[in-house]
Amino acid sequence: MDSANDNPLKRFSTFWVGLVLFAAFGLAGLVLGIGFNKPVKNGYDEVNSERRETIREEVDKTHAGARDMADKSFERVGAVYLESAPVAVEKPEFILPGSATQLGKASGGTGVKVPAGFPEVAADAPIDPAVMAKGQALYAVCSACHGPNGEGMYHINKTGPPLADSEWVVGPVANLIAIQFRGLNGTIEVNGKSYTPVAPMAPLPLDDESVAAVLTYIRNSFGNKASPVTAEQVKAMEGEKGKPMLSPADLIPPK
Amino acid sequence: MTFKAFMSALAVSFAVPWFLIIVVPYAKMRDLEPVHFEQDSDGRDEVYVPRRSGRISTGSAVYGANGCYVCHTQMIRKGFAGSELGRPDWAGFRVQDESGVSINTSRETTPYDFVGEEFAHVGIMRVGPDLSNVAGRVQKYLDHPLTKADSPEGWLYLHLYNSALKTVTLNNKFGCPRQTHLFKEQPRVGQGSPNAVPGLENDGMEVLPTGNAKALVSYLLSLKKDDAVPYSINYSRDKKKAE
Amino acid sequence: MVTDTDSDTALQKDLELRARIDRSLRHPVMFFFTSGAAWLAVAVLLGFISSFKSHDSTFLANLGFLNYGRVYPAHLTVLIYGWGCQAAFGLIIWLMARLSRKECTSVGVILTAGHLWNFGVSVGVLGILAGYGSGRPWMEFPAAVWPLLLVSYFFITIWSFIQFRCSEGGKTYVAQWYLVAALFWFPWIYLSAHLFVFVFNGHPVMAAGVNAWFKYALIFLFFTPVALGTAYYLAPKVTGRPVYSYTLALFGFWALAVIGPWAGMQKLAGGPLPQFLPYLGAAATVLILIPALAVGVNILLTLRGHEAEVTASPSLRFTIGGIVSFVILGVMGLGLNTPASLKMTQFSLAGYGFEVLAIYGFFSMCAFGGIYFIVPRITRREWLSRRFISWHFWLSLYGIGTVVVCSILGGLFQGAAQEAYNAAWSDAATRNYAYNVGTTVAWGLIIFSSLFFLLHLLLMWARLGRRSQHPTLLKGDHHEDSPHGPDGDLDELQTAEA
Repeated sequence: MDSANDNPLKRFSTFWVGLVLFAAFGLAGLVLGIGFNKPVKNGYDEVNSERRETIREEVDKTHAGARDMADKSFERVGAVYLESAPVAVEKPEFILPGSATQLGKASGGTGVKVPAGFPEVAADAPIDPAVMAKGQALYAVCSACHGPNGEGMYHINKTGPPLADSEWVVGPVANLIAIQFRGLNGTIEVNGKSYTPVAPMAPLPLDDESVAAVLTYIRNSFGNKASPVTAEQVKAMEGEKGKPMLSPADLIPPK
Repeated sequence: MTFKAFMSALAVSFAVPWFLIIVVPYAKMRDLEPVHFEQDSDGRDEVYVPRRSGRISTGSAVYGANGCYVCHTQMIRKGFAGSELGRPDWAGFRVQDESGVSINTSRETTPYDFVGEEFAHVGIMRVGPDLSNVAGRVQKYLDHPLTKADSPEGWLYLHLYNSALKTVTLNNKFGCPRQTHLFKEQPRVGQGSPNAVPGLENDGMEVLPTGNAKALVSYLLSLKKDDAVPYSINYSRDKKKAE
Repeated sequence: MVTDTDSDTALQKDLELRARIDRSLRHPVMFFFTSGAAWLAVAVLLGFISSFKSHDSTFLANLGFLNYGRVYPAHLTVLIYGWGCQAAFGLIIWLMARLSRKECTSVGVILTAGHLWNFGVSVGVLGILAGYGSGRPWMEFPAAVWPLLLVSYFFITIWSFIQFRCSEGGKTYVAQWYLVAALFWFPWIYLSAHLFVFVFNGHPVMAAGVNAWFKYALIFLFFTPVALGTAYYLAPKVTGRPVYSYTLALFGFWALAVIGPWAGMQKLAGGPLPQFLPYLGAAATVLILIPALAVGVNILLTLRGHEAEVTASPSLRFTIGGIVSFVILGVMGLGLNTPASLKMTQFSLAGYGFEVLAIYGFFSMCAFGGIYFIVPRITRREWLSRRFISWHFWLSLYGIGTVVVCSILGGLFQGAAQEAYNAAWSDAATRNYAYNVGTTVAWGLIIFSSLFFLLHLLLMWARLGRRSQHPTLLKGDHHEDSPHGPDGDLDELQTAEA
């Protein structure tokens, strides 16, 4: 039973089988590890430059969009700005050239001016019934805001203040003519009450006789009694035509 | 059982754990992806880049060859496995951040803390303190009124040459053994060499650190592992996010 | 052997075969035992020096090459590769040859490879002391050494594998399972661990993890099976009765095979790697208690009722010491690796104590048992002094006991102090002074025991042993009517008979 009787082939094969078995897990490690020996890459630089690229793209997009928005918004802002009504200025240096205020001031202010040689009509001058009738017919238009009986539509839709018992109506004629030519906008106090119509009174393009007729009518209706208005008076005030819209501060104060 | 059956059973009983605890974790940890800070949990949006400066590769080899890992560890364990997170100046320091708030920079060791080294010198025993943040501690020791060194390198050279010389020794009785083989003595000529370690001159001899000592000290001064890490790998996350 | 009846021709042939096997094995096995014993003396001396330095840093402080950081790795690597592996090789070669009933025909190759192994270990330990260590625990030899050791290993042990495969007896003994398993486990562990740690480019933490796994894999899957194989050979052989339970032996072996490879990574608990790895390692180390108990019960019950042999036979005494140490190792594995205690032992002296218990307390005691049995058979001389053997035994036992108490328990206390993070570090650092001194005392005891052993073995190697057929026993005097026949030199008696 000594080794001389061994099959030499068995010894030889066992030698190599043994070698392979000994190295089994080392070989397995090498086989799995052949992929191990690639140099470990430094991932940080790549990742950082990728992130820089992404951030840069986003920033560029935002910038371009912002420029777009800025352009568009300028148009919108500018348009809104131009549409908005100017605030009443107090200091002369704030008045913009070409603006209504400046024009009014250049032409001597926006106030109602009684021109020199304004014909006076006596308070008890006779009233022509034809003129009254014409005036009444014309008043139909005015009644939309001032009421069919001059009571004003203010309490219904905040449009016109009353003409009845109005100190302005029986007051200086120049006011009324100027209003007809230039319109009126703003808060006005009539008979102790304050009225702010939602819409200004627009000037009406009537001829002198018609203006005189309707003004005579309102001055002698609704409980008012005052001197009639003549066409000559209206003609004398034609300098007011084209001037900017009136505000109640521009009117000659009624006594 | 036959020999084949025996060998198969032996191979399988070895292969399964070998594969599961050696091969797969090794392969997966090879290619760690960079971690990102996130906007909502960290307050910034960038990649966490672990940075270490110093002669890390050579110094790490000198550290291993001289057996520093026998007495010193370099692993701050997570709270459930050990308590060194709470030990002052081991895992981090009390500093003021940019807004002047006093914060504690302590954190556990992350996988990115050993960048630049081939083998993480986790350590065998803790005869001496853990060295994860030794660079920060040395900086603090320099402020001690009795310190003989004037620079962090000088302090570490004193410690390695004769650890009883530096004044702030926590363990004077059996401190770090004298590593005199890392230095060479030579007679002092004139004003002396600029490389001589200050504080060690006597009898006309001066002590110079060898290349190994310089590498080792450079490596030790790179050991400051308390920088901010992203929430996703910050294991004391609940505390940190609340702060 | 001289027998009265010639009818026992088969028995006579068997005895002659055994004698021939022993004769063929004399040089390789004695080479490994003697050179291993010399390395053991060096290792134990280095262990004493390193332990002394741990509580007194001025001891030999002027010798830079004996720095603590170099002498500690040198001590452990010489203990493992110089003594442990060579003792294992000697045991494997002799046991496998005897159990397979095959003579050794590759004496020249084995001796050459053995000298190469010695050369590798010498270069390695001198490299560590000169400052070229690799810094990886238990793998500190400079990186060029390990392939040399692996190749030497192959040419030492492949012949045992061939003997096993070519054996004509039908039966495979329990000891052979362990020896064959150890033969393969060593290269599997050694080669893959060194590839992953030294060759492949991987993550540094995972390299540390594989290194930690290597440590315990080497303990549980190389030193343990070799020691158990020796114990499973000696216990039935010396008492003359079979192993107590075949099933238990089977269970114990496969339990070790299944549990062992998972252990080791608990060194990195709480660290920056997937946490299932360290906790699997801790669990496996805890479960090693199962095969430890199985083997312990089996062997100790095999010896039950044979107290006389146990008291008298040196081999059995050392074997029992080793097996009991194995059971204690299992209990320590349980005690040191639960989640609560792992915190404390992970970075304390307890790990070192566990390793010393495994290599010296368990493996070395079983190896001594084997050596005391084998050497007379291959040198055809008997041990000279029962006192030397006795002192070797008792000093080793005291040394191991001191290691268990001081290193392992001391490590637990040290770890507990380390965990008290609100106390100053100096508290934890100074806590261990007494236990370090105790460990030094243990190594001192073991130095003396090793010196007795080495001296004794060298005398046997020089063929100065007692020329007698009567084995040197620890008890009892020589009788005329001893079962071993008349006293006297074996060769002279055979010549006289012829």
